[in-house]
Amino acid sequence: MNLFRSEEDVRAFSGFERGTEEAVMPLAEYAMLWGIENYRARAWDDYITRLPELQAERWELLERLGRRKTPFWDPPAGFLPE
Amino acid sequence: MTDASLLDRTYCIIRDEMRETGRAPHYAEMAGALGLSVEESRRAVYDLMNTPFPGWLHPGMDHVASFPPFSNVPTHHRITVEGEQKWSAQCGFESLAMCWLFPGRTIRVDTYCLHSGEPLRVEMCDGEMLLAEPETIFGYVSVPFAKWRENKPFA
Repeated sequence: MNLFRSEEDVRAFSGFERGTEEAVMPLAEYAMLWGIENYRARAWDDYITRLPELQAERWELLERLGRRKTPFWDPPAGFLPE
Repeated sequence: MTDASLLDRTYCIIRDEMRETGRAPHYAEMAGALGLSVEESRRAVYDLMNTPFPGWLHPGMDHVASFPPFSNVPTHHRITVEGEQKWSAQCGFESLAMCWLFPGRTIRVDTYCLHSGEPLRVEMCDGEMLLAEPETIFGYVSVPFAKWRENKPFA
Protein backbone atom coordinates (compact mmCIF):
# COMPACT_ATOMS: atom_id res chain seq x y z
CA MET A 1 0.00 0.00 0.00
CA ASN A 2 2.32 2.59 -1.27
CA LEU A 3 2.41 5.83 -3.17
CA PHE A 4 4.26 6.39 -6.43
CA ARG A 5 5.36 9.40 -8.45
CA SER A 6 3.11 8.46 -11.38
CA GLU A 7 1.10 5.67 -12.97
CA GLU A 8 4.13 4.80 -15.07
CA ASP A 9 6.16 4.32 -11.89
CA VAL A 10 3.55 1.90 -10.53
CA ARG A 11 3.62 -0.21 -13.68
CA ALA A 12 7.43 -0.22 -13.73
CA PHE A 13 7.66 -1.06 -9.99
CA SER A 14 9.40 -4.38 -9.27
CA GLY A 15 6.48 -5.42 -7.07
CA PHE A 16 3.80 -4.74 -9.68
CA GLU A 17 1.77 -7.81 -10.53
CA ARG A 18 -0.27 -8.45 -13.64
CA GLY A 19 -3.97 -8.76 -12.96
CA THR A 20 -3.93 -6.08 -10.27
CA GLU A 21 -4.66 -3.13 -12.56
CA GLU A 22 -7.79 -2.18 -10.60
CA ALA A 23 -5.54 -1.25 -7.70
CA VAL A 24 -3.61 1.30 -9.78
CA MET A 25 -5.44 4.47 -8.82
CA PRO A 26 -4.76 8.18 -8.67
CA LEU A 27 -4.05 9.67 -5.24
CA ALA A 28 -7.44 11.41 -5.20
CA GLU A 29 -9.30 8.09 -5.53
CA TYR A 30 -7.33 6.48 -2.70
CA ALA A 31 -8.00 9.58 -0.60
CA MET A 32 -11.72 9.07 -1.26
CA LEU A 33 -11.49 5.41 -0.25
CA TRP A 34 -9.62 6.23 2.94
CA GLY A 35 -12.12 9.00 3.58
CA ILE A 36 -15.18 6.79 4.04
CA GLU A 37 -16.83 6.60 7.43
CA ASN A 38 -14.84 3.48 8.32
CA TYR A 39 -11.80 5.75 8.66
CA ARG A 40 -13.49 8.93 9.87
CA ALA A 41 -15.05 6.90 12.68
CA ARG A 42 -11.68 6.08 14.18
CA ALA A 43 -12.14 9.20 16.26
CA TRP A 44 -15.25 7.66 17.86
CA ASP A 45 -15.05 6.01 21.24
CA ASP A 46 -17.18 3.05 20.12
CA TYR A 47 -15.29 2.51 16.87
CA ILE A 48 -14.47 -1.16 17.40
CA THR A 49 -18.08 -2.02 18.24
CA ARG A 50 -19.32 -0.14 15.16
CA LEU A 51 -16.65 -1.44 12.77
CA PRO A 52 -18.74 -4.18 11.08
CA GLU A 53 -21.52 -1.77 10.08
CA LEU A 54 -19.07 0.68 8.47
CA GLN A 55 -17.75 -1.59 5.73
CA ALA A 56 -20.36 -1.55 2.94
CA GLU A 57 -19.55 2.02 1.84
CA ARG A 58 -16.15 0.89 0.55
CA TRP A 59 -17.70 -1.34 -2.11
CA GLU A 60 -20.35 1.20 -3.06
CA LEU A 61 -17.57 3.73 -3.70
CA LEU A 62 -15.43 1.24 -5.64
CA GLU A 63 -18.46 0.50 -7.79
CA ARG A 64 -18.93 4.23 -8.49
CA LEU A 65 -15.24 4.52 -9.35
CA GLY A 66 -15.61 1.66 -11.84
CA ARG A 67 -13.16 -0.55 -9.93
CA ARG A 68 -15.25 -3.69 -9.59
CA LYS A 69 -14.66 -5.27 -13.00
CA THR A 70 -12.36 -7.94 -11.55
CA PRO A 71 -12.44 -9.75 -8.17
CA PHE A 72 -9.46 -7.71 -6.89
CA TRP A 73 -11.50 -5.66 -4.39
CA ASP A 74 -13.98 -8.41 -3.50
CA PRO A 75 -14.43 -8.82 0.26
CA PRO A 76 -13.60 -12.21 1.79
CA ALA A 77 -16.51 -14.52 2.57
CA GLY A 78 -18.39 -13.43 5.67
CA PHE A 79 -16.69 -10.04 5.85
CA LEU A 80 -19.82 -7.99 5.32
CA PRO A 81 -22.66 -8.28 7.86
CA GLU A 82 -25.81 -10.00 6.55
CA MET B 1 -13.01 -13.25 24.94
CA THR B 2 -12.92 -9.57 25.89
CA ASP B 3 -16.32 -7.82 25.82
CA ALA B 4 -17.05 -5.13 23.22
CA SER B 5 -16.97 -2.22 25.63
CA LEU B 6 -13.54 -3.22 26.90
CA LEU B 7 -12.27 -3.58 23.32
CA ASP B 8 -13.47 -0.03 22.63
CA ARG B 9 -11.72 1.29 25.74
CA THR B 10 -8.51 -0.55 24.88
CA TYR B 11 -8.65 0.90 21.37
CA CYS B 12 -9.20 4.44 22.69
CA ILE B 13 -6.27 4.29 25.11
CA ILE B 14 -3.84 3.17 22.42
CA ARG B 15 -5.24 5.57 19.81
CA ASP B 16 -5.07 8.57 22.15
CA GLU B 17 -1.54 7.78 23.30
CA MET B 18 -0.34 7.39 19.73
CA ARG B 19 -2.01 10.65 18.74
CA GLU B 20 -0.45 12.52 21.66
CA THR B 21 3.02 11.02 21.75
CA GLY B 22 3.58 9.12 18.50
CA ARG B 23 4.13 5.85 20.35
CA ALA B 24 1.87 3.05 21.53
CA PRO B 25 1.65 2.11 25.22
CA HIS B 26 2.63 -1.35 26.41
CA TYR B 27 -0.18 -3.44 27.90
CA ALA B 28 1.45 -3.16 31.33
CA GLU B 29 1.15 0.64 31.11
CA MET B 30 -2.52 0.36 30.19
CA ALA B 31 -3.64 -2.00 32.95
CA GLY B 32 -4.31 0.79 35.46
CA ALA B 33 -6.34 2.88 33.04
CA LEU B 34 -8.37 -0.17 32.06
CA GLY B 35 -8.89 -1.21 35.67
CA LEU B 36 -7.47 -4.65 34.86
CA SER B 37 -4.63 -6.87 35.97
CA VAL B 38 -1.58 -6.77 33.73
CA GLU B 39 -2.48 -10.20 32.31
CA GLU B 40 -6.07 -9.11 31.60
CA SER B 41 -4.72 -6.01 29.88
CA ARG B 42 -2.42 -8.14 27.74
CA ARG B 43 -5.36 -10.31 26.76
CA ALA B 44 -7.45 -7.26 25.86
CA VAL B 45 -4.73 -6.01 23.49
CA TYR B 46 -4.48 -9.44 21.85
CA ASP B 47 -8.25 -9.64 21.48
CA LEU B 48 -8.35 -6.16 19.95
CA MET B 49 -5.80 -7.22 17.36
CA ASN B 50 -8.02 -10.20 16.50
CA THR B 51 -10.97 -8.00 15.55
CA PRO B 52 -11.35 -6.72 11.97
CA PHE B 53 -9.36 -3.63 13.05
CA PRO B 54 -6.20 -3.88 10.91
CA GLY B 55 -3.59 -3.40 13.62
CA TRP B 56 -0.98 -5.95 14.67
CA LEU B 57 1.65 -6.81 17.26
CA HIS B 58 5.31 -7.22 16.49
CA PRO B 59 5.78 -10.91 15.57
CA GLY B 60 6.86 -12.93 18.60
CA MET B 61 6.46 -9.96 20.94
CA ASP B 62 3.73 -8.20 22.89
CA HIS B 63 4.51 -4.73 21.53
CA VAL B 64 2.06 -2.93 19.29
CA ALA B 65 3.74 -2.67 15.89
CA SER B 66 1.00 -1.05 13.87
CA PHE B 67 -2.17 0.72 14.88
CA PRO B 68 -3.72 2.39 11.86
CA PRO B 69 -3.43 4.99 10.75
CA PHE B 70 -0.29 5.04 12.89
CA SER B 71 2.75 2.80 12.85
CA ASN B 72 4.63 2.26 16.10
CA VAL B 73 7.63 1.29 13.97
CA PRO B 74 9.16 4.19 12.03
CA THR B 75 8.20 3.97 8.36
CA HIS B 76 9.01 5.96 5.26
CA HIS B 77 5.58 7.59 5.55
CA ARG B 78 6.46 10.45 7.91
CA ILE B 79 3.64 12.55 9.31
CA THR B 80 3.93 16.16 10.36
CA VAL B 81 1.10 17.97 12.13
CA GLU B 82 1.42 21.74 12.11
CA GLY B 83 5.20 21.62 12.00
CA GLU B 84 5.68 18.77 14.47
CA GLN B 85 7.00 15.50 13.00
CA LYS B 86 6.67 12.62 15.42
CA TRP B 87 4.36 10.11 13.72
CA SER B 88 4.68 7.42 11.09
CA ALA B 89 1.78 6.09 9.04
CA GLN B 90 1.09 2.37 8.71
CA CYS B 91 1.20 2.64 4.93
CA GLY B 92 0.77 5.13 2.13
CA PHE B 93 -3.00 4.73 2.09
CA GLU B 94 -3.35 5.08 5.85
CA SER B 95 -1.33 8.29 5.64
CA LEU B 96 -4.34 9.69 3.77
CA ALA B 97 -6.60 8.82 6.73
CA MET B 98 -4.36 10.45 9.34
CA CYS B 99 -6.32 13.73 9.08
CA TRP B 100 -9.42 12.16 10.67
CA LEU B 101 -7.61 11.92 14.01
CA PHE B 102 -6.40 15.52 13.86
CA PRO B 103 -9.56 17.46 12.97
CA GLY B 104 -9.05 21.01 11.79
CA ARG B 105 -5.28 20.59 11.52
CA THR B 106 -3.09 20.36 8.44
CA ILE B 107 -1.35 16.99 8.04
CA ARG B 108 1.76 16.70 5.91
CA VAL B 109 2.82 13.32 4.56
CA ASP B 110 6.41 12.97 3.42
CA THR B 111 7.10 9.68 1.72
CA TYR B 112 8.99 8.18 -1.19
CA CYS B 113 8.07 6.62 -4.51
CA LEU B 114 8.91 2.90 -4.29
CA HIS B 115 10.03 2.83 -7.92
CA SER B 116 11.90 6.09 -8.54
CA GLY B 117 12.89 6.85 -4.95
CA GLU B 118 11.73 10.41 -5.51
CA PRO B 119 10.25 12.24 -2.50
CA LEU B 120 6.49 12.74 -2.47
CA ARG B 121 4.56 15.22 -0.36
CA VAL B 122 0.85 15.39 0.40
CA GLU B 123 -0.97 17.83 2.64
CA MET B 124 -4.53 17.27 3.86
CA CYS B 125 -6.97 18.87 6.28
CA ASP B 126 -10.29 17.26 7.24
CA GLY B 127 -10.21 15.07 4.13
CA GLU B 128 -9.46 17.92 1.74
CA MET B 129 -6.32 17.55 -0.36
CA LEU B 130 -4.38 20.80 -0.03
CA LEU B 131 -1.20 19.76 -1.82
CA ALA B 132 0.19 16.86 -3.83
CA GLU B 133 3.76 17.07 -5.06
CA PRO B 134 4.02 15.97 -7.75
CA GLU B 135 0.41 16.21 -8.89
CA THR B 136 0.75 12.87 -10.68
CA ILE B 137 0.93 10.67 -7.53
CA PHE B 138 -0.68 7.22 -7.82
CA GLY B 139 -1.34 4.55 -5.21
CA TYR B 140 -0.97 0.80 -5.56
CA VAL B 141 -1.35 -2.42 -3.60
CA SER B 142 -0.57 -5.80 -5.15
CA VAL B 143 -2.48 -7.96 -2.65
CA PRO B 144 -6.20 -8.48 -3.34
CA PHE B 145 -8.46 -7.16 -0.59
CA ALA B 146 -9.70 -10.62 0.39
CA LYS B 147 -6.14 -11.58 1.37
CA TRP B 148 -5.25 -8.50 3.41
CA ARG B 149 -5.99 -10.18 6.73
CA GLU B 150 -3.89 -13.25 5.92
CA ASN B 151 -0.67 -11.27 6.29
CA LYS B 152 -1.47 -7.75 7.35
CA PRO B 153 2.06 -6.27 7.25
CA PHE B 154 2.51 -7.36 3.65
CA ALA B 155 -0.87 -6.33 2.26
